[in-house]
Amino acid sequence: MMHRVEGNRSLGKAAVAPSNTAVYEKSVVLNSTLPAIQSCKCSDVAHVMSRYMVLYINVRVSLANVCLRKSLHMLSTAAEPWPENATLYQPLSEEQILLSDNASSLAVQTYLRMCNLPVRVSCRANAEFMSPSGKVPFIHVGNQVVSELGPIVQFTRAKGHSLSEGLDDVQRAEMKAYMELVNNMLLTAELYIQWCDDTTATEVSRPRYSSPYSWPLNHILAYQKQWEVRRKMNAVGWGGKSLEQVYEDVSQCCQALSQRLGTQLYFFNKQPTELDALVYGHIFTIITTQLTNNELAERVQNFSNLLSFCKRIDQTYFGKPDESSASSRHSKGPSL
Amino acid sequence: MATPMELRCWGGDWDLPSVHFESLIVLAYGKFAGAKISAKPIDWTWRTITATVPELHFEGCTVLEPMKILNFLRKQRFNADYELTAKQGADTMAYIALLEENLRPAMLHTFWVDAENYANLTRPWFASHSPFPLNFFVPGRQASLALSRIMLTKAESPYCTITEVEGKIYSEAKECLNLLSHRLGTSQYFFGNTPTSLDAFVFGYIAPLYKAPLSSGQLQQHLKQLNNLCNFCDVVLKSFFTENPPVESPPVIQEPVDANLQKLTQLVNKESNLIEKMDDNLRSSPQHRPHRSDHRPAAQRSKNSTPA
Repeated sequence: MMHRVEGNRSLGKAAVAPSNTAVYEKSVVLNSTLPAIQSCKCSDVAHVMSRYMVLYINVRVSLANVCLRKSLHMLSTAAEPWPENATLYQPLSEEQILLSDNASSLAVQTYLRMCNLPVRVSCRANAEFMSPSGKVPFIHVGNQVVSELGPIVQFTRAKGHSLSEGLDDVQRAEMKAYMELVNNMLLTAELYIQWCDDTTATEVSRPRYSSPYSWPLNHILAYQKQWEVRRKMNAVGWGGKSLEQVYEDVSQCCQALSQRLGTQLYFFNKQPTELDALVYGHIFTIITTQLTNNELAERVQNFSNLLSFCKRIDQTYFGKPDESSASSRHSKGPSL
Repeated sequence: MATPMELRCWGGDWDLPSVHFESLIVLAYGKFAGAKISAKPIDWTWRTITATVPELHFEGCTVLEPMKILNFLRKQRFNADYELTAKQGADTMAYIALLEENLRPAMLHTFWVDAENYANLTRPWFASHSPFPLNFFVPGRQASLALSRIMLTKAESPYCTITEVEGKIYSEAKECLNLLSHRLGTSQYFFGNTPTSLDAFVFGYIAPLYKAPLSSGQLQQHLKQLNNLCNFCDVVLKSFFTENPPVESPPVIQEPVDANLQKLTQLVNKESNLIEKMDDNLRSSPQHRPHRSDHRPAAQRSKNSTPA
């Protein structure tokens, strides 16, 4: 398992890779000669190949790796349909998961449901450390591991499942922009409130985050995480913000989303896209999670069209109780 | 409006009113909204180390960060977004987030982390615009800030190296430029015929990339293929920053006083650069370095011909 995760580490990072036909063809030839069972070895061989390529084609190592990732990616997608046993990993939903992770996990689950791709939700105490990028959730499909919504969307697109196919270029730009808005504002605000607000960090985040571990590991891991997040906040210029300013930012972000949504069913009218999944994941989690106070949820609840949007998606995609994932979905708080 | 607003920013070069992209955002917005902002370059003063640029001074208040300065200007009734609908306002926020998340890391990397650009362009420029003892310190400090920002925001696990992150941030940035180009289409500005704050942000981010004489510029080459964005830059520069030269002149006015000092600093810098480069060449492995310079452009061309 260790090995496999290592080999697939690259997939989580695969972004829109530059195309380099030479590298691509070589690795396809290489891969197609090997049986599917050896796929973990395959990435090793491929890695060695990439080293040689650097010498012969004089492409930078990083470039070759990216291309290789893409080719592995493409190969798997061409070969395999979506398997029945796809699994999504997230932290323990009852006692461990935090607001931001829960939101991201719900967004991915919603996205996969919108695509009609079945996935089994598995809760692991060490999900964060199993993930190739160190972030949850991640999915394990066939012999590949992909983490976070962006790469997962690309992964499913390569498998032939896409929600944004019908959009034109301008709409796609808009969708990407709003997704970045959610990541830039809502996600950062969630992290800030969890780890930089002392009351929330002491009463909710640190105890929950470290709940599976015994003393002294629980303190070490929780403080390490907190320190990491605070460094990140300082780097993006949020370190000096007050809690009030953060709430204000959340309001502004929701205001923008609410304006964009208007009275439409989804952000791009009748068809749901990954943006809808992401917004639903975050808004729904914020309004159903009990933190030390309700300020954050109240800020979001001012926008009635976002609330009805959440209710609609909840009913459409999570309406029927599903034996595997319904129980693990909302960890706490009242449902809508 | 008796006292004009003063903006502390980095001075201009490469046909731009300021080389610093955040200062450029504020200057552009000021022009769009019709605010009279007098740019006070911090070049050759001790403020290069003490000030956080851009910094707006007005009647005793000091405002930092482009976003806050823009909000402050709006409160002073200099609003370039007056005619936008609520939805367009929301779009503005979203696209600014897109720029921040996807273009900014690659911009920082291009100017501050990329070894060639840093040694040939950024470091000499900022060193030659800082007073004598600081010139050894200012560029390095900026570069380490840029690197830590990239690593903290974009490196997925804390043990990633910068080379692993590079590929990701550049492909994101190229996609971002493509999306902006699609969004702009054939119109003059992002929302019709009048420039707004989104135009200021886009201009601030892409103008340095467009104008700077970068020696290794995969992002620059990509940008130059997107004609409408280049046109957009030219139009903004032509209609807002040419016939009205006050923003460009201050560095020229200040120059005579410090001319000799500047010459000296430049000389010292060139020398220390040379030394650094030699050091670099000695340290780096002998096979990679020479190959890279003549093969990378070829790789880029094939990459750029199919924008993602």
